[in-house]
Amino acid sequence: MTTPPARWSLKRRLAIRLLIVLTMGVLGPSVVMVGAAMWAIDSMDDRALQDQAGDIVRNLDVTVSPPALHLPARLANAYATSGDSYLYAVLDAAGTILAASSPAAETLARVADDMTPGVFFLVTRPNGGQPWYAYMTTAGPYFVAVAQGSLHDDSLADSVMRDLVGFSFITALPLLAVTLLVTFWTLNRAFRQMERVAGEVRAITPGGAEARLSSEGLPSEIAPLVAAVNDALFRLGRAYEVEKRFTTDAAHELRTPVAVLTARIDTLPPGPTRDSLAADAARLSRLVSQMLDVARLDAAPLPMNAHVDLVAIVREAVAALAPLALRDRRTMEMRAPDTPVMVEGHEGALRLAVTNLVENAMLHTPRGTPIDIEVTPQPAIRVLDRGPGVAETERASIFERFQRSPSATSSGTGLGLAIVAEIAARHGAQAAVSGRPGGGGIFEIRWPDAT
Amino acid sequence: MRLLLVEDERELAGLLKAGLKAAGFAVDHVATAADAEAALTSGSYDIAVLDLRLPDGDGLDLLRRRRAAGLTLPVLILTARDSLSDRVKGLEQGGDDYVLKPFHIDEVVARLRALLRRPNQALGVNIVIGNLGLNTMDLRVMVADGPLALSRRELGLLELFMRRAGRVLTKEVIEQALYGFNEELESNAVEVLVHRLRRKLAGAGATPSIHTLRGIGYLMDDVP
Repeated sequence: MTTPPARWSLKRRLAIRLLIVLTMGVLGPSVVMVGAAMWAIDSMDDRALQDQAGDIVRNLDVTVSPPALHLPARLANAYATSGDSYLYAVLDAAGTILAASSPAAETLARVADDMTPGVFFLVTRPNGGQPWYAYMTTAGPYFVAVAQGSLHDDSLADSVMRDLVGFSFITALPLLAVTLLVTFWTLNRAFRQMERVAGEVRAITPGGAEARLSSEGLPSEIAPLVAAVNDALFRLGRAYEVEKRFTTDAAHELRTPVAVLTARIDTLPPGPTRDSLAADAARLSRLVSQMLDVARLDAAPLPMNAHVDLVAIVREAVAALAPLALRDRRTMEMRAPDTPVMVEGHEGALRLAVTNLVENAMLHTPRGTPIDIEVTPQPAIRVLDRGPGVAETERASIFERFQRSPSATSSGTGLGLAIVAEIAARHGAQAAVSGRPGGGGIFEIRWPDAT
Repeated sequence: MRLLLVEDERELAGLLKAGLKAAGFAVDHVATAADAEAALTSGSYDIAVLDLRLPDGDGLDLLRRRRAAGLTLPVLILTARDSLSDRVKGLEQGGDDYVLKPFHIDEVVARLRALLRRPNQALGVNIVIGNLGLNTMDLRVMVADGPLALSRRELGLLELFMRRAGRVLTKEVIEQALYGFNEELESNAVEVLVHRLRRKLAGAGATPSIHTLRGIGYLMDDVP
């Protein structure tokens, strides 16, 4: 089971979330402060109006009828010189103006007549312009309405808000930048260490399970993962060692008696018995070798990371077998390009595959028949013989272990081609057999076109 | 020729010893790495046969140690085939030869003789294959007791073939051995040289022959 690759990165998530948090952290207080400031400005106007009304009420003598207003000179002067910025009007219950700051107060009185005492309201100026802000209260049976031009107008609130928001952002933007920088720097350092560990993991080759990852410089959150991987590597390494140990021990234990047998047969007097015993021993020896090759292939994946030249590998393997071919009075020819044919893979395994292909041809074709070997630029290794070939019905199963063609001679082990197929598969290539025009078989290891 | 045989498997050692004695070697046999090290240190052998897997250590480690201490005698290694490891490859690239277990005693004897032909001392040696003889000191070639005149390059090629008789020499190996690094080389120079040498040997009645394996290399043997 594979998990789809993550479509987000930790850095991107952190950047987006930090941006949201910091924006809220900056804008939130600003909004609260602007709100508070506007409220303060509004209530300042309200209090000023109430104070203004209070002044009038205090100086209104309601014991006489009509009531008499005795404004101190300072106030009277202020009203007179305000240019209708400050107004007052004293009304009776019928709405008749009993006293007023100026003729303009008539407008105020008209609007105030419809109002209930204790409310704030706006009065439209008859000649346009900003409306008055007004308030009405009672003084005994009378009503006192006051108004002022909005001194603390919205432009003030706007400027306060602009200043506050501007100031907030001036401080917030560097803060945001520094926060993001510090976050990214911290993450980058942690990720560099993780990238290093990933490199160490990538460098682990099959059979290299004794490798350990270093947790140096890693954040403590990641260290347990590294420790767990190291534990797993240790267990794998131990299992691999046991397996490897067994195959090497088995190799030695199996080969020694075969070596003794071969050497003992060599001491016999020459004759047909010695020859057939030698052939039996050779077959036994081949079986042991191939069983061990299969065990080795099964025991662990091969490191496939080397760039190797098929031409050189095939020529070397074929050159080692050529003396045997000559002894059987065969001709052997290799055709290959003058330039290397490079593939990714394991040199020893490929040499073993070629050896098995050629040995297979030597075992299953009559003495004296030619064996040709080809390497092609589109990576492929071909061994062509002039033997009986392989019947079409047997071609699929011939590469399976111990699946020997019914027509095969007794000298085969049934393992050689299985080893070839296994090694081919490990290289992403395919082992196949086909008929050769003019008689014989073509055994090949073919790499897919994409390589 | 005094030969040290290092092999822990008793029966195999007995058979090898008998075979080597029959081939004319004076054989001393030891079964452990410790005994082998002591025997090699004594310095009284001309050649050694070394099994890599010994009860008290690894033969290759022992050899590396003695080589570092100045051991020069040729050593033939007995090893189990392990195609998937680079161990055999390492041996191939080293100066010493190896034989895979199981082996025929004839093969071991042939390899030992080949190793002894190597000029590790300033003494001339005679290499003989069939009725063909070469003295590597004065570079005289004899075919059935009669001298054969060869050019300098032909002599070089013949020596190469005779030292590695029975094994394939690739064209690259011959080119590297006979021609200088900067030498201009016709693509068919080796073919032409081999052809000339073969004709001269055949003309003189030499029994060994040079086989051509097209695309692979050349091989000299004395199979009648």
